Formats: sequence, C-alpha cells, structure tokens
Amino acid sequence: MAVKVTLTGRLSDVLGKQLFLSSPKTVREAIKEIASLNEEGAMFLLDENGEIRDNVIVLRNEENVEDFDGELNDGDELFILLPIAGG
Amino acid sequence: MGFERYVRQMMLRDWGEEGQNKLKSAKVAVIGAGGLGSPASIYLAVAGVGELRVIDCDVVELSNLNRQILHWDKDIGKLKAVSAEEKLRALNHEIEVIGIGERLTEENAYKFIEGVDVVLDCLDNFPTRFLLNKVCLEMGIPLIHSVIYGLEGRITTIIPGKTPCLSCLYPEPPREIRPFPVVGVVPGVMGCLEALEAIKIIIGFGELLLNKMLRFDGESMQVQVFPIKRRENCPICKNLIKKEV
Repeated sequence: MAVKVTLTGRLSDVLGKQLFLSSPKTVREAIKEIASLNEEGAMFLLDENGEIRDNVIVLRNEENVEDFDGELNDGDELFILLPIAGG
Repeated sequence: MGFERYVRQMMLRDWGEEGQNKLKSAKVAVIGAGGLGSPASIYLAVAGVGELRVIDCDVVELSNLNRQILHWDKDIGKLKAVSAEEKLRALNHEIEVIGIGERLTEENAYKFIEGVDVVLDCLDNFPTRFLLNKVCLEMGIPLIHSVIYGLEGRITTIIPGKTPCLSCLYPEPPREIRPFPVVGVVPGVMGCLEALEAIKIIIGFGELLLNKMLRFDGESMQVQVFPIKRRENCPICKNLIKKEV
C-alpha cells in the first residue's frame, strides 16, 4: 500500500514537498509518521500531548478530512495544509 | 463624471451602468498595504470603488520591493499608508483614497472599518487577523481572507454567520515563520483574487468562495478548491451579535 502525501508551508521546507508512506492505516497514523521524521515538523503537526493540532487542515483525495481515524486506501493522496500567515 | 474609464468592464453581463454605480457608491477597507494589499487596492482603485481605506502602520523597506508594488525606491522610509494613498490617487483621481498609518487595535478597528461594504485581509500575521475577524463578525461585514507562503496562496470569503470564520479554521494561534519566503507574483495573484471577490460582493454577481477555500500552488500551477465548515463550538462566531458602533 502507498499513500502519497503533499506537504505545504514550513513542512515542505524541511521535509520536501512530497512523501510516499507505505504503511499508515489511518490519516492519524500518517500524520504521526510524518511528525516522527523531523522535530520542527512535529511541532507544527502535534500538540504537547502528541495529538494533531486543531489548525492543521488535511485533504484526502481533495476532500476535507473530518475523521482522522478513517481508513486509508492504496493510492490515496493526502494534502497537509499547515496554517500560513504571509501577506 | 462619465464612465469612459470603465467602459470595458461595463460590457460584462451583470455589470453595466448599474454595477458601476454600485462600485462608485462602495467603500472598501484594505488592511495591509504589502504584498497582498498592493495589487488588491490597485485593482479596486482602477475598477472605480468609490472609497478605499488603506490601513498599514509599517514603513517601506528595501526588502519589501520584490512584491509590494505600490511602493518604489523613492518611498523607502515612508509610511506605506501614505505611499499607497499617493499611488492610488494618481491611478484614479475619481475615487476617494484614505491612507491610515496606524496599527489596527481593539480600540480603533471598529472606527476604521465602520461603514465599509467589504474588508480585505491583506495582513501578514495572525494576531491582527484574529482581531479583524472578530471585528468584522461583530459588525456584520464580509471579510476576504488570503494568506501566502513561498509559492502558495490561499483565499476564502467570510460572511458573518454564514461561513466559517478564521477561528473556525484556526482554533489555536498558528506558529508563524518570520520572515517568510515569498515570490512577488504569488501575493500578486492572490491580491487580485481578493479584489475580484470584493467586486463580486459589491455588484452582486458570480460565485463567491463561500464555505470553501481556494489554494493556488505556483510551483505545480495547481488550483484546488475544497470545502471548509463552521465549527459548532467556535467561541468567536457561534453567538454572533452585531455590535453597534
């Protein structure tokens, strides 16, 4: 199984714009796997309790993810939209 | 004053003399005269929006000039609000331009945006954005929100009580990167889209970015539009009360 992940904002600066994850069963697992790759990235994605921050928007196949525990399928595409602030 | 300046846009269906008169009677506040605020206010000015209030407390710096097209070398050290007012007046003498060189605060925000039809969020930080969000919600004024980072831009239109507000989207203050990377054309694109949303709101045509966010990726040239939802427990917009000024 492979899930393509596109990163945005500062996350894409530190981890690159795209990743392929081979084993996540859920969106939550995918995000935690990404967070494990980089300390700075983890601070953007997870709060002090290790939970996904409320201000992270995740799209799965172009749809906004509301249930982070929904099962992922082979070929799914995730977009991780960190808040950005520039103007 | 005739309409010759605007005749090409008045050829559009749903625009005409009636639409142009609506623009002439309209008042728009542009909060921030930087990368987003420059193109947004330029296009609102040349479209003939009757009154533009441009609010920014910063002064022009050399490092602004790759994107903040209202400001030129000769303006370095000048208040952006003053520089913006000069350029916008020169672009279209038929409209009223009011440059306000003050920081937006809880104390002055209501006064500065009182009576406007639309507010454009062209800011570069979330604390002031959250303040603007709250004030616009309380005053019942549509707010067009845009942000950029690097080659990416996002935009949505917030209608108080009808769409998600900024606090619905970002319940906790985001961690901010300063200074942030930016290529001038990206806020150029997004500022233009903000101006277009404002014009559509004022004239009353087309489809707005309500309950959805548009994301522009300048690296891949992809545009995504995805749905966004109000948070039932949003502490800012769940109990909307219009505040009398």
